[in-house]
Amino acid sequence: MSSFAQLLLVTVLLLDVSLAASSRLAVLIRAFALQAAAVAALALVLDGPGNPHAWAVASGTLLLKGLLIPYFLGRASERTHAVKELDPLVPYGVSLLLAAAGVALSFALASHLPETAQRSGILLGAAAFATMFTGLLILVSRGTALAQVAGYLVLENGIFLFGLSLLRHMPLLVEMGILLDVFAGTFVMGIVVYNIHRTFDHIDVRALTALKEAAGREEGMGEGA
Amino acid sequence: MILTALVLCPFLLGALAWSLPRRTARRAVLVGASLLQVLLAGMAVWRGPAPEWGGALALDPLGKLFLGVTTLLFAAASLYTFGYMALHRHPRKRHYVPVLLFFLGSMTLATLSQHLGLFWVALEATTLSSAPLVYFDRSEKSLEAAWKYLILCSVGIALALAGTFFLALALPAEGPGSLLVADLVAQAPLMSAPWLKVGFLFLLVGYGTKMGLAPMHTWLPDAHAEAPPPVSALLSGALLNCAFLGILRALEVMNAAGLASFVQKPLLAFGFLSMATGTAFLIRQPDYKRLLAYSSVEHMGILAVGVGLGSAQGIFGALLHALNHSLAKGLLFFAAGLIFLVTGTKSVAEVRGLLGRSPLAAALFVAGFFAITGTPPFGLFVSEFTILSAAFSAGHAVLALLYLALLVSAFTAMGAVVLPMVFGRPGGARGESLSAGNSWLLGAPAVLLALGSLGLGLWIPRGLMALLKAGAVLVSGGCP
Repeated sequence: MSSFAQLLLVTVLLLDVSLAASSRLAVLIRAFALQAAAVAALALVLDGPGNPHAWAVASGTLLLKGLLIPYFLGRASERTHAVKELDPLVPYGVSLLLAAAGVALSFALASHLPETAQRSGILLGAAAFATMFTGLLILVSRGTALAQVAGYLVLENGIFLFGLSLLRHMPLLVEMGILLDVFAGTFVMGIVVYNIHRTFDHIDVRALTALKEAAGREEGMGEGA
Repeated sequence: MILTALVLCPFLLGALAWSLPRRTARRAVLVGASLLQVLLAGMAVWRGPAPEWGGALALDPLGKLFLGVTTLLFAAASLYTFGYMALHRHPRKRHYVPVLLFFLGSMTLATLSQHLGLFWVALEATTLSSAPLVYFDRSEKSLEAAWKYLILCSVGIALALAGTFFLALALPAEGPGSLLVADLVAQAPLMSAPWLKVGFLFLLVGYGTKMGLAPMHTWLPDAHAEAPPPVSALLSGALLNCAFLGILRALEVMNAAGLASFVQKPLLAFGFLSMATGTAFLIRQPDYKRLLAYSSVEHMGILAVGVGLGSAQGIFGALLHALNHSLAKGLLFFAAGLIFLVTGTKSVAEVRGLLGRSPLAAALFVAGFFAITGTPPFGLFVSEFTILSAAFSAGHAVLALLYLALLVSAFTAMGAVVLPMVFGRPGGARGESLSAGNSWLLGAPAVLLALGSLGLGLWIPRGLMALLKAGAVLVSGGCP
């Protein structure tokens, strides 16, 4: 693997740690965009610039995940006046430590990958696992709807990175389908987030509990009694 | 050609409906599209067309079964929509028909995909196209339900994508390296067993989330209860099956790799947990649409148990059960929509003496209750019994008894909620009364589903029998 690819992978890993620790949505979105751009560049570097398939995947990733989705998320955070998350379920210091531990764990996991995946070195697998882990961490630790969307996107970044080592298995149509699904998904989620803001005047999804079974239950029992 | 047409027609007609300004025109497109789809699907199932797109689209027995269920249920739901939307006061929503058709197109693609990556794309598209349908009412509750549905299922399905990649990693270094189910099955004995196992678990959790297996089911009751009844019927009767199909595809590969004994434990665990969770929340459930949703969790558990028994008989039972469940649950959600129209409430406590208020709704709801709880002579009795006897013949006597106990509890719990609604003393909330024309439009699809459910209990047509058996052989890899 070229030293440029290694540099890109290290960038992805560093961005994981900063993603886990940032409270400001704007930072979260920018870090995600940078990470997506690094993944796009990796698609090109790993599979050789002579490969049209790799060009298509790289440019699609850069366009959708590196530019359009971050732009769209940025606008959504402006319109919903969501700037930063003050009260995460896991404090940012702990998040930072967990993400760092996740990186260490990912190296251990990646060393067990079968040979087919190791043709591009242990670093790729490690970066993929660490990014998936960071995405899940953001998903469970944040309560702001937009931060959760970002968590989902980071998770997707990790999975996609994993898929890069398997580029030959995936027809271009399927890769494009995956990208398109992620883009459309962000779009639909953005609309729902906007509606949540309009209806509730906040986007803290932990506060949406009208449908909790216990609440409905008490009502029902009350009427029965 | 025909397979491509099956996928493309709903999308193109959906785009057409989007451009039409008149509501009646859009609804006409909906009914036309669903009838066209029935015609195309019928031709495809009858003729067994050649694979298209390099084998990525093909119609195998499993595909035929689930394509058939999806198409028929969609046709019933689109007729029902016609009657329901005319009566139900609702915000003007232009996107309803187009999005419903995109939903149909993505489910159809899921049933036809032979490439695991393409299947993933299709299943994620079903989430995206059905989330706006859940938010149809524009109420706070439906917004919460739509958000939960979107984020939980998207994350779940993302894990399934990771699982798909793990399967690809398990492939031997030489060889075609494609993710077509047939290629994977052919190469399965050479694949790396640890990565197959990891891949399967990710696929099971990922697609299991979408299928509504406990403990990943938390989105399901909310989404099914908040969506309008025809959409609930599709979510429960068609979409859950599509997710189940993803697990069946993974099972094909695992069984071909000789890992059948590995897959049984997680399937049985998720299955029994779902049956128990679903049943527990049926007890004194205050909302009758949530009642139906939890019943879906229970029945998805039965499907997981059926395939988890590891015998072709169990898989056969599960496939038949999936079909039966779709018919009965479609019927129940249609009946629930009627109840909502005549009473204007979703609360069980406020619906009493339905028989006096709307005999049609009452009769359909009671028929649906007996059908879904597996009372003979309805079809679910046959499939639940098949799975029970598969459990006994596989030597799982304890599990078989547990299964039976859960079925009986579900019957009791559901009956305790449903029967007072129908036979109790009249009173409570009052909604609109149905005209004869509307009753006909709303009742006919439900009656057809009821007859189908009843018919399958009495007699399984020879063609369907062959299809189910071929499907069971496909999944079990020919082992007995």
